[in-house]
Amino acid sequence: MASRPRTGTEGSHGSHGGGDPALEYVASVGKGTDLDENGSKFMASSSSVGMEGEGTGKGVTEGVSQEGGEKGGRNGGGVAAEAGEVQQPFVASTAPLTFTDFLEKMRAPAAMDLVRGIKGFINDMLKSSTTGDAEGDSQKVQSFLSQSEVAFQSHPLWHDSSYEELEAAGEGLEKYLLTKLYGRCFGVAAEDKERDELLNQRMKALRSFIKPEHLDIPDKYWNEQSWTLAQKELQKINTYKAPRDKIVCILNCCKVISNLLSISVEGAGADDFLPILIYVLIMAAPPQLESNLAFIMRYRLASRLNGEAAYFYTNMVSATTFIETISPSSLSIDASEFIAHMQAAGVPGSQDYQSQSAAPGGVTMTEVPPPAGAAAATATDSRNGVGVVTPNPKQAPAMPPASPNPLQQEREERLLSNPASGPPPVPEPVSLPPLSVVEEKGSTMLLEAEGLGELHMRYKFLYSSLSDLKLKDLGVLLNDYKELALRFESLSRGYKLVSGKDLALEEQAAPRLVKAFHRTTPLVGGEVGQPSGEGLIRLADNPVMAAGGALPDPPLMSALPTPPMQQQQQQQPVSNSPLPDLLS
Amino acid sequence: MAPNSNCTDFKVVVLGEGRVGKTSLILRYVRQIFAENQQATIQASFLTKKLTLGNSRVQLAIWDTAGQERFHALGPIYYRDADAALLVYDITDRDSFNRVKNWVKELRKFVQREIVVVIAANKQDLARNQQIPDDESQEYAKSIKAGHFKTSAKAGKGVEQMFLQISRQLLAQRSAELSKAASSASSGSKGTGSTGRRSVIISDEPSSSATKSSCC
Repeated sequence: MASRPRTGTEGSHGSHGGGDPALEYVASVGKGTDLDENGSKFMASSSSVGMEGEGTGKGVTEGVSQEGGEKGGRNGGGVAAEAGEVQQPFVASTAPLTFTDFLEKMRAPAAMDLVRGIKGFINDMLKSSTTGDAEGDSQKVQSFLSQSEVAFQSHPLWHDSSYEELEAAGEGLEKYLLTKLYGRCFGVAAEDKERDELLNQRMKALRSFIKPEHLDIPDKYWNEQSWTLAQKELQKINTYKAPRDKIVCILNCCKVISNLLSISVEGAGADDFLPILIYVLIMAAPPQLESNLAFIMRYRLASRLNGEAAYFYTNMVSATTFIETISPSSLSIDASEFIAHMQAAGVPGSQDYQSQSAAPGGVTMTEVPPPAGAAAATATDSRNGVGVVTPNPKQAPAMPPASPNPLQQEREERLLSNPASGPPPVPEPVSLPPLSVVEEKGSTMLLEAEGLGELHMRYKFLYSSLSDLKLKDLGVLLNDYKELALRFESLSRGYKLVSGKDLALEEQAAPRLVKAFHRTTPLVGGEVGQPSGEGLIRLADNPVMAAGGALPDPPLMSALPTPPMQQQQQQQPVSNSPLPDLLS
Repeated sequence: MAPNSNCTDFKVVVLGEGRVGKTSLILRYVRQIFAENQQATIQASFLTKKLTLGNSRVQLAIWDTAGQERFHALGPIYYRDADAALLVYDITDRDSFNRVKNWVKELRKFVQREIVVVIAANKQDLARNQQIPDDESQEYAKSIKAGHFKTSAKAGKGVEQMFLQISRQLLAQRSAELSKAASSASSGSKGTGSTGRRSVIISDEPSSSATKSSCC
C-alpha cells in the first residue's frame, strides 16, 4: 500500500518525460551516437517550422516545450518568463546529463558488472521464445528497469551522485534497452496491429470530411499554423524508439495546442483542449499510433509515467478511443451526412451507423455489444467501428488482473469499462454473406493497403525473393507459417460454426488475389504453394477476426529463434545507425 | 532520495458539463485568479498544487476533463485511478446537475477503490438565476456521502475551503488505507482490505483528520 504507484502527481520533480529530451539532444549534438543525431534532426526540422528559435534547436525547446527557462537556464533566458508562467507541469528538471553520458559511464571499468547484467538481459529477451507476449515482455522490462535503478543507487559509479544524475542514468538505461529491443517489443502484438488498423481506417475516413465545427471548436482557435505544427510534432513519434522520446512527441504536440489555447481570456481548459487534440490527431494520422501508445505504457518505467506526461498521454489515449468509437452522435453533423461520408470513404459497416444515429451521446454508443459472433464481424470487416473495439474479450484474460500501473490497467480496460457493457455475448448463428463476396471486398481493401505499403510492415517476407532469404530466416518463416496456419484454421472453424459454410472449400477468390498481387510485386511465383491461404490469411488478419477468441496463442511458437534485431529495426521508419555496443 | 519523497501525491479529477466552470475553479485555486478580463497565459488543463496540512505535505495533481456530452464515454479513462473526483455543476443549469448524478453512478460502478467525492455548486455569483435549490443538492450530496460546497470561481468563494476539505479527506483516507494494510499484514491476512471495498464513495468525517491546515 505504501508504495502504491501514483500517477499524475509527481510533477514537480525528477525527470518524468517532461519534454527535455530535446534539451538532452541540444547538449549532446555532435557527440555522435545515432540517437543524438535523431535529436538534432528533431531540432532542425522543428525550428524550420517557424518557431521563434534562431535556427538552432532552442526554438523547439523553448517555443514548443516552453521549458527552457525552467531547466536551470541552460538555454538562456529566451522565453523563460513565459515558461515560468507555464508553471509546474514541466518543472521536471533533469540535470544536464545526456544519453551519451550514460553510455560513457557504462564504458568505465567499474561498470563491467552492470554492463554484463544489461547485456545478459537483452540477450535473454531476444532469445526468449515467445514473441508477441507483450505483457510478459513488459513485466520483464519493468522489473529489470526498476531493479537496475536500485542497483545504480548503491553502485560506486554513482557514489555521491545527485538525484538528477541517478534519474538520468535510469533514463539512459531505459533508452538503451528499448532501442536494442525495439524490434521485438514494438508493434508486434496482434492486438496492437488490430488497433492500429482500426484507428487508421477511421482517421482516413474522417480526414476526408471532418471540419473543426463538427467538433465545435471555437473560431478563435482556428489556427492552421498551430495545428500544422502540432501535427508535425506528433508525426515524429515514429522516428524515435525510446519510450520517453515518444512521449515527448505527444507532449510537444499537446504543448502546441496548449499554447494556442492560452490566447483565451477565459482560461481555456480541457473543454477546449480535447476537441482540438482530436482534430489534430485526425489530420496528423500518424501510422501505428496505437502501437506507440501501447509501447509507451508497457516499456516506460511506470513510476516515470506520471505528472503532466501522464495527463497528456491519457488525453491521447482518450482521443484515439474517441476516433475508434466514433458515431454520428459524436459529431455536430447531420447523421445521414456522416453515414454518407463514412460509406464513401469505404468504412466497412458504416451502414450500421443508421441504427446508431438515434443514440444520444457517447455512452450509448459504446454500449452496443460486440457483434454476435466474431466471425460475423469478420464478414463485414469490423463492425467494431460502431464503437466497440472487440479485441478486448480476447485481450482481457491475458492481462494481469492487478496491473502495477493504474494507467496501464486503464488502457487495458478502458473499452470494457463502459456502462452497461455486459458479458461478451454468446455467439449465435447469423446469416453471413457468401464468402466470395466477403473476400472480394477484403481483397479490394487488401490491395489498397498493399499500395500504401502497410503489408510490408506486417509481413516482412512478402516482398522477398528467394535470393533474399538467409538461413536464419527459416526459423521466422516457419514460425510465421505456423501462425498463419493456425489462424486460418481457427478462422475457418469459427466461420463454419456461425455460418454453416466451410471456409476452406470456398477458395475461388484467392487465386485471383494472388494474381492481382503479382501484378504489382515481384512475388516469388513458384513459392506460392498455398495461394488460397495467402489471401484468406490476410482477410483473417482484420481487426475483428480475433474478437471471438478464435486466435490461439500458437503453442508451436517456440520454434521462433532470436529475432534478427537489426533487420527488424530496419522495418521501422527510424533513422537507424546502430547503437554503440556497450561491450565493444 | 526524491526531492518530494515526504510529500503525498494525489490525483484529483474534475468532472462537470462543458462551461460549468471547471477550469475557472482550478485556476482560481491554483493561481488565485479568475481570468475574466485578464490574459490567462497558462494552460489550465493540468495543474498541480502543494499544500501543508499539519505535519503532512500534499501535492494535488488536478486533472481537468472535457465535459461535453460527446466525450462522456471517455470518462473512465480519466477517473479510473483517481483519488478524488470533484463534480462541478452550474447552479443556473439543471442539466449540469443531472450530469453530476450521472457521474456519481458511474464512479460507483467503475471505480473499485474508495475515492473521495465532492460536489461543487458553482457560479454562486449568479444566485439570482439559481435553478437547483441549495436544499436539493445538499440533500443529494448527503445521500451519496459526498462533500458539498457552494463555490464561485469568479468571486473566489468556497474554492479554497473545498480543496482543503478534499485534501484532508484524501489524507485521512490514505492513512486509513495504510493502517488497514499494516494491520492486515501483521495479522497475516492477505490482500487488500476485506471491508468497505464495495462502497466506492466514502466521505470521512472531517473531524477525524485532526490536521490543522495552513495552505501554502
